[in-house]
Amino acid sequence: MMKQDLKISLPVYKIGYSLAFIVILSCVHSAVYVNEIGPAIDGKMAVLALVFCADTYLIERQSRRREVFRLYPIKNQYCAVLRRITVQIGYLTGISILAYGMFYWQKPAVLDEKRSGIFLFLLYCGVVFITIFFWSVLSVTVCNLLQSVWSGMGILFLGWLFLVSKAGEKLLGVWNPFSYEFCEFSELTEWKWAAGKIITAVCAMLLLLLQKKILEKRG
Amino acid sequence: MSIKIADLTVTFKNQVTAVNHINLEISNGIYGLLGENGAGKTTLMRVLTTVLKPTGGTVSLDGILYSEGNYEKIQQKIGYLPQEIDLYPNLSVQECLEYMGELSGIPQQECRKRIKYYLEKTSLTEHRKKKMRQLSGGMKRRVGLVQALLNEPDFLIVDEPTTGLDPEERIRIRNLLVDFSENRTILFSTHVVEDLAATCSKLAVMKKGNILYSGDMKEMLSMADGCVWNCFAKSDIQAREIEKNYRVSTKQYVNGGYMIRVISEEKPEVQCTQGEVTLEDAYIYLMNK
Repeated sequence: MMKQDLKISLPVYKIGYSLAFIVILSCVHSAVYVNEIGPAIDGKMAVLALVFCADTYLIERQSRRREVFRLYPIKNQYCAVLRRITVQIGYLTGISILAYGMFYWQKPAVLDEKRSGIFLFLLYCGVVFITIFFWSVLSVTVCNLLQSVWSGMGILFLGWLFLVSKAGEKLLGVWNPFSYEFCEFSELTEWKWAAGKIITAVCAMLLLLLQKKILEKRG
Repeated sequence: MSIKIADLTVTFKNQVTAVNHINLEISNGIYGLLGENGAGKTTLMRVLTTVLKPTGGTVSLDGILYSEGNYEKIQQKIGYLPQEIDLYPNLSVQECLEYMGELSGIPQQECRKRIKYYLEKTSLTEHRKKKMRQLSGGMKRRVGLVQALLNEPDFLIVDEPTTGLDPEERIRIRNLLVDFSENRTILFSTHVVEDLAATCSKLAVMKKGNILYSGDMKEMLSMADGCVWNCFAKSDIQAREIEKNYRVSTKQYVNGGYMIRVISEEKPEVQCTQGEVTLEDAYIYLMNK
């Protein structure tokens, strides 16, 4: 069934706009130093993830299949949603890595030889995976609860705007989901910023477990 | 398999009562559900599929009461073809049915065997590799029916299964439903009276959320006995005059004029003979009684 979920979750139009998104991002966002690439992409991938995954389950409603889908055993419905989320997270992580590579056309300079390019890249991979994981699952959850893709995306976008703002940075500090984006280069290996990402990952896991209940109640 | 509906009511938030205190007993075989648009047929079917919770009354399927705790048990026994459904456009017919079959919990090998059987029965075998988006409306409808049959449900609910099908396909689908109805229950909702006349012996007629009639087809036909008249109109003007003054069930062009079937308790004041009652006549009689 993975093959089918892959085709359902990744239609051509989604692949098209997501690729366009990273191409535009790598063109309009400057990165003078290598260490600026990760923070430049991380926050924006959250927006892409929330839009990309909004209809993971609601596509059944939009295509008027919900009444049939609801007749399947709840465990199978839950597994189908999990497979779709997995496919989408995998794809988005893949293109975020591609986006990282695309920033190299700007020929960014290495600021600190101690923190090698490979270290920064691996750090970015972990961070961006958590960002995509959290915003994807949050998007599926909120849209399912509201039973509306547009309302869900709208509310999450406002939340994202707050979190990436100065007010969000000041209020949440290292607990901000985008703490990696806000931290100074010198603070990168102090790992204080990781608190925000750990909290985000834990929340995403909890939301993932909640999906079954949400499907039962709101599916 | 028997479905008992007692005092069922569905009132929406806007205070519209779509189903109004109805009682119905549906037993084995094909049971027809007939009614105009907005009569409450789809609402009734949505309750029976557990998608919609009724405001009042009870429903039971083989003694299992429709309640939150029993929904999963009931859902396993149900197959449903909604009036409108867009199956996965990026999947081929085979992939789509395999996906839906496996979601139903049918083991993979068994699922493939059933898909092969039903694709043959619905003349879709040669189209199995086509993407769903490439199919015509009639083909999509047939795939929709196959997905409803895949888990071999004890209770199959089909809403307008023959919509968009050509006459030959319609007959094929009707025959498939008749074969499938052996030892099972099918609730067949349609506007096409001819489909019910060809497939079922029991039916219910709904109007504005109420059941106007439920029972044997024969009894329903006998209600309109003596009220069907075959009238001949020589000209357009005469035909229009008849249509204006009487309830007409059909009008057909014949050699030299029009043959018009009039439903009237009294003999129309035109040249006419008494006709044999068809389900369509009985339906029109009942709806305008």
